[in-house]
Amino acid sequence: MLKNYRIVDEDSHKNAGAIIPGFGLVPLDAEVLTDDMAKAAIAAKSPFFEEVQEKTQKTARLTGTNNDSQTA
Amino acid sequence: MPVLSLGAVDGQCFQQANPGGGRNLFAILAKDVVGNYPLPEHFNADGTELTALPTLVATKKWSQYLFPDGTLDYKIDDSGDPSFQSYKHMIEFMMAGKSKALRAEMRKYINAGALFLIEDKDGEYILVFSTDDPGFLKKSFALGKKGNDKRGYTLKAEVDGLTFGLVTLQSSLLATLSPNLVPLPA
Repeated sequence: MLKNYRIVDEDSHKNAGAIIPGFGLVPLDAEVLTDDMAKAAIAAKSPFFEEVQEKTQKTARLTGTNNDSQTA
Repeated sequence: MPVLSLGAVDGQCFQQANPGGGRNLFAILAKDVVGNYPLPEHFNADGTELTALPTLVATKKWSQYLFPDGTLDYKIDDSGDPSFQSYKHMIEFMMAGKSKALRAEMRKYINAGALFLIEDKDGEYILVFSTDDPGFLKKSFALGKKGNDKRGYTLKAEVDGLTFGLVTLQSSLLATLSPNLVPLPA
């Protein structure tokens, strides 16, 4: 399952596949793929994957905390 | 055009496996390709690799065909008299069974030419046919007389007059290829 990477515009790739060096033909399915596969694909200039920015994760967490405190 | 003189070539596979057969087969209708493909500028300098993928009509993709093991074959002949020679491509594969989905797919090939991509056992992708000369599949269905007789479609296409022989996609292109796959079993 992808954790630190995501499929770009995943909805438009239903039932589609990608060819990843070292892994071959794999389905473009975030539940099936691993971070290692996404990393190898990005290294091969695949346009179908992107890294989840750490800043975005932190921002999301901070936003969540703020919301919680506001709620509290 | 410069004369390309012959060179020394190793035609053995010393200490290397050299298996026949294909690993994957993909198809697309010639009508789903925008413009002509491949054109001379799509080949590398020695004409052995394609350096560009075809531009497909929006939302269209190559479709994966899962074929019974050991039924896919691809052949190339140089045909014609000297000074009139060109290349002939031939593809043959089977599709087992008679499901409605399979029949519906076969129906799409009536008077409709297609291009194919074959992934071989080296992981290289071979282009079969062109938009100028797409392959028109001849489909024959056999019910089989009894028991383990083969029930299904045999599909063959052959076209001559092509400008290229055995060509593969440049490996750097593969990362941008996103074919439609047969869904994984649930």
